[in-house]
Amino acid sequence: MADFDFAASLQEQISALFHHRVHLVVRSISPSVAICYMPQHVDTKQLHTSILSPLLQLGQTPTIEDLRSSLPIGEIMDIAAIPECAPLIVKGWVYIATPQAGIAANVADLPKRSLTSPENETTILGPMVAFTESIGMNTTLLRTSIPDTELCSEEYKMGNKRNTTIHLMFMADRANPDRVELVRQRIKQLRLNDVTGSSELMHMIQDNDLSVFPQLMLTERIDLASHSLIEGKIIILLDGSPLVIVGPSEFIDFFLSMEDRYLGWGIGTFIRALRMVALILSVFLTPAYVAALTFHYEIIPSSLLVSLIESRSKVPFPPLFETIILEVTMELLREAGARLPTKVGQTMGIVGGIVIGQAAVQAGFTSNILIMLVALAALGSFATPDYLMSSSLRLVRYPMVIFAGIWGSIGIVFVTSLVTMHLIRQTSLGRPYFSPVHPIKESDLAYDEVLLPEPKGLTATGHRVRKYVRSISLRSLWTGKIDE
Amino acid sequence: MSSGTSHKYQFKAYMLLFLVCNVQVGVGIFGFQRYIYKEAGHDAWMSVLLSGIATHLIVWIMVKTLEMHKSLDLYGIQHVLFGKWIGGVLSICMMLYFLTNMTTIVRTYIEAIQSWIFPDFPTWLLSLILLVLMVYGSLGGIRVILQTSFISFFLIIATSLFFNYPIRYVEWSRLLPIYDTTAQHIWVGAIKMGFTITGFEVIFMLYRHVQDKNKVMRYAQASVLFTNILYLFIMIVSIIYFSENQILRTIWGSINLLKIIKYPFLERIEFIAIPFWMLVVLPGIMQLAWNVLRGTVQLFGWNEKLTLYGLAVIVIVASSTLHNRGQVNQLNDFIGIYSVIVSYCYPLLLFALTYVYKWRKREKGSDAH
Amino acid sequence: MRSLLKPMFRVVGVLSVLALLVGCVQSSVLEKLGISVAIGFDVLSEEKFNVTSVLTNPEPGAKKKTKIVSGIAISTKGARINNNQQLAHTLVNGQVRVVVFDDKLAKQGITYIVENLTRDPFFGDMIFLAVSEGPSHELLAGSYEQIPNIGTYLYEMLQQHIQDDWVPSCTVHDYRSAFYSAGQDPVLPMLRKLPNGVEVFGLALLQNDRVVGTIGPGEGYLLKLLLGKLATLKEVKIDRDELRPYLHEHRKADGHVRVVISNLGSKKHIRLLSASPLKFQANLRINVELQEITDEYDFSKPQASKLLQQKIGEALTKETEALIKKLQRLGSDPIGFGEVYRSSVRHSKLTADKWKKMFPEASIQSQVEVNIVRTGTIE
Repeated sequence: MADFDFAASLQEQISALFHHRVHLVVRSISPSVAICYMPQHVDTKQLHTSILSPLLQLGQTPTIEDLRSSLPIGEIMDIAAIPECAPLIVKGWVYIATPQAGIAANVADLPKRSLTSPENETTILGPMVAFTESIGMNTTLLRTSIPDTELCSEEYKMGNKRNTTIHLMFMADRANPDRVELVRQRIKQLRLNDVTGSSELMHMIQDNDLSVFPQLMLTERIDLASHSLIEGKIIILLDGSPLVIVGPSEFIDFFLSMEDRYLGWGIGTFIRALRMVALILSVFLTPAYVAALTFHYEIIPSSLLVSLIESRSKVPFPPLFETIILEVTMELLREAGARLPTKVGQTMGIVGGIVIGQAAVQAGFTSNILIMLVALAALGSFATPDYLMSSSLRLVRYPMVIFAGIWGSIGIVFVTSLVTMHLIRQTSLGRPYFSPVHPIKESDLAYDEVLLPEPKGLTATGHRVRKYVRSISLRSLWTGKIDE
Repeated sequence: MSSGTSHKYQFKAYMLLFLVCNVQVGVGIFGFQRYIYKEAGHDAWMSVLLSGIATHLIVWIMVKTLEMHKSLDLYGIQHVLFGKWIGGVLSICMMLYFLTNMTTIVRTYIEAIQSWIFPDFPTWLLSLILLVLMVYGSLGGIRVILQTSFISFFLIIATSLFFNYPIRYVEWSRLLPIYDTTAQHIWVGAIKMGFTITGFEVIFMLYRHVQDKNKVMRYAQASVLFTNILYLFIMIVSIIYFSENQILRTIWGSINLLKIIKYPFLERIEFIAIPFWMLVVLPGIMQLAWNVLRGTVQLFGWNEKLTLYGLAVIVIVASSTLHNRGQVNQLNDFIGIYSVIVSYCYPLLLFALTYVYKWRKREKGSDAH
Repeated sequence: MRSLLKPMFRVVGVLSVLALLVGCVQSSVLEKLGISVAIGFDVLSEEKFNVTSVLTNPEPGAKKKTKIVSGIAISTKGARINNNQQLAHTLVNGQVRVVVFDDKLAKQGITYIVENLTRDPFFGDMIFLAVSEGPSHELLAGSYEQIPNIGTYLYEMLQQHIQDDWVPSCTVHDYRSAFYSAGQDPVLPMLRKLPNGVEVFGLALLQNDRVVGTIGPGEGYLLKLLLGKLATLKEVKIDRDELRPYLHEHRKADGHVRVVISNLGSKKHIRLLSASPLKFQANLRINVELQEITDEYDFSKPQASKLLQQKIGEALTKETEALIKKLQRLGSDPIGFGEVYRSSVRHSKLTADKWKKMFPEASIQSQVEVNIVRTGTIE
């Protein structure tokens, strides 16, 4: 029984690749044609209609050419040797073989998530679509949002075991070719590393992994990714992760959100300024408290003095320890709230936040002014759109509090200078990370942190505004008429 | 002597606006008022003005000298004008000058902190903190110096905005009658002002690394103008806020001006302003250290990093040996005289010599043809 | 790159741990401090002071909000040592708001104390100085039913008076700047203890640093206006006969009409007319709002308010001239005529002693012009 032998031998050979511990379906079409696929990975309807039925209508000994021309499938690949087909079968391809040669056809229907709204980066006015784990879907979303032909996408594979697909996307007329080359080199260097998730990849290709500050941005929003592409940035997509890596990023990028653009220039700039204030508050508020209460009592205005003394007098610890205890408790609350299942998390949040706080103050364990300050500081750190950056800032607060407790205001300034100089020293894909000095000429600006009103005359609104302004000319004030 | 400028050290001319004034505004701003007032009385602002005008002229001469030498820094110019050996000795003197300047700034700043905020902060510890920061910053290269001097520029502006608060307590008549003292007193006051305004000699070292050298003059003058206006403003506010004998007895005049500020949520701003002034002092000493490093690399070829560490250790040790205010004042006076010579007299000499040198070269060149 | 950093990390780590361990700074934790909010100085004998400190009570839930500590010493800081001996918390001066001197000490001279307080960098510059009638210890240590913290109470009371009323600013800076100025003398408020409170009842005039006389609120008002600051309410006495054309004859037949004016803004102009003989012209222009007039006055005619303005101006001019004569007699120049002299005359080389001789001989004319902006909401 020749055909039985061929299918059986095919099954034997392919499952030997998987140590005989795999679920495969091998079916013989004719004595010299057999197909092999993984049952849950293929679209069975398409398999039946587009592969099985045409194949079943072929003759007894078709050649590979006959096979190929009979299949109404777009993606067909030649397979030289049987081991090559294993990764493809796993990816949902079906392997069609004759004793001489084989081809593989793509009828994949892998489990994937449908499009949802972003979980962690929500906006009120923006589009509600986020990336998913399927790199095909993500690349499609980006390509459809920028239909321009300058958008390039290069594919790489990474990982010994995972063989994950990586797409490198950039606009050829906007992105800096040296930086693209740098990214390519780094990805190639990491070819054998198995990465789980974009964040791990990001940390590997970052310029300086010893720094707590992220130098590349991660986002799950499509509008942010496409906006960055148009600005000239490079996007790295990783199969299996809904986050894409955006680089090169500057320090200020982590504090901008697409929401600001949607709100308009006035409100947007105000919100961005508010975030800066929140940043400063969250980093300096608790260290200032510690320094003022431990060393510099003169700086406290007299109206606050009495209430501060009263609230502190019950506390047995010096301000430094009190603050560290409260900060750690706040971090515990946050971490526990993030790890708990949703059903339990809500209750724990309320219990932790309100009850423990209240009880602690009444027991004389801590002062209520400090609880308010720590809560404000935590709020301030969460105003940062990027999660990694807000975590870094929360981390920076600890040495600042400790040094404030040891050296007072000198300690605060010491840590501030150290962190500032550290940020200045960082680069993101070779581009300076933190440069407060921006080029003065507007044309040098890659993007705007301060949103300006649309230049008049360029938009429909601008046209109307211009006409209106011109109509209220000095002459009309004199004559008492307003021209329409 | 490296002939070309390495690419990584280049920056644009407008950065000079922040770099030059940052070395000028160090710790002198805290207490310069009473020295000038001692000489010129309530016409001290005229001394400041005179000093400022002299500074503009000297900067003009400096930039012209540098333009004639195309793309050399101070060590290069000295090498060209004086030959290898004498030029080398002069360069070593300049490096020692920069080093002493650093020590003075560090020690005076520590003195300010110890007088106002932390009387018992150990000197060695504070200088260790300052120099650890300086070393960390300098290891990052010129970019750190550029950006931190930008930050400190805005810190200076922010602090000077606070000086509008004392204005509601001033007596404008204290400025009158104008020109009540002799021209000689004003002249001596201007020289004393030179101690404080000096610092712009770093243009000699920075010129080489500017990308668009045709804009150097305007930004250097702008930077010096900023410092002049700042000092003039503070001097005038001090004259009208304090009465005659009061200012003579006030050691740290500017800090007394800041002391009275009261906002609903914050008082005694000097407790914040003086520590944060560290961010202003840092880029200044980083630049001075960088100047010394340029010298040691060019003349001796020493390893940059090790020289930097050695510098830091020397400054820490030197500043810790000064124990009291009297010694600090002596050091300030000593370095003050030398700064005036280096900043005002020496550039004139260099300009004259360069002119002669170029004229001779042209003669030789025309003879050769 | 990473391998290079490893030994570096170790060195840096060891050094930083050493630095942190060895480099500790003396801390002053807030609740362990006895924060003094007011200090009083009384002279006991030749060289001894009695120094009273009012502290905010650091014990929580205590009924009394302040704690009074006093001790005897020769120097101000010596007194602090003495006072500290009675406390569980360290006595600190950084939050002192008011310093009170008793009148005997003020007559002897207070510069010595003020200078030594200023020497301390933790002492603020905007601290109020005041003179008390009688020992300051009684004023500060007295128990008042309605005043929880005498230190902050005095501070707020003085602040309110300085902002709106007839007390000129009396901070340490004002005192020192006047003291060190050749042509000006300081002026301080005078406090008096009442059975149930404290009142500011006058201003103490100083010559250099000794008290030589006092003036009341009415004169203080004019003094403050001549200093160029704002003072609001003043009561003026005008003879009835002068206003007769417009008065409705109702109540008193003779005597005086009392008018209360509220100052909306004033401009002072002090000029040196000639250097020798020494002549000054002091002019005041006040814009006022009429707050109260004891008789019914007919405002319907425009000349009525013009007459009233003129009469008020004349009354105020008389008072001003009386004030200035009193100042000259006492030898105290808080208004700063000496400063005007110094700034108008070239190479005057004015010193405090010179001015002390010149001031009583000066002839100073004053003129007050009043402009009634409005009479309230009724006529």
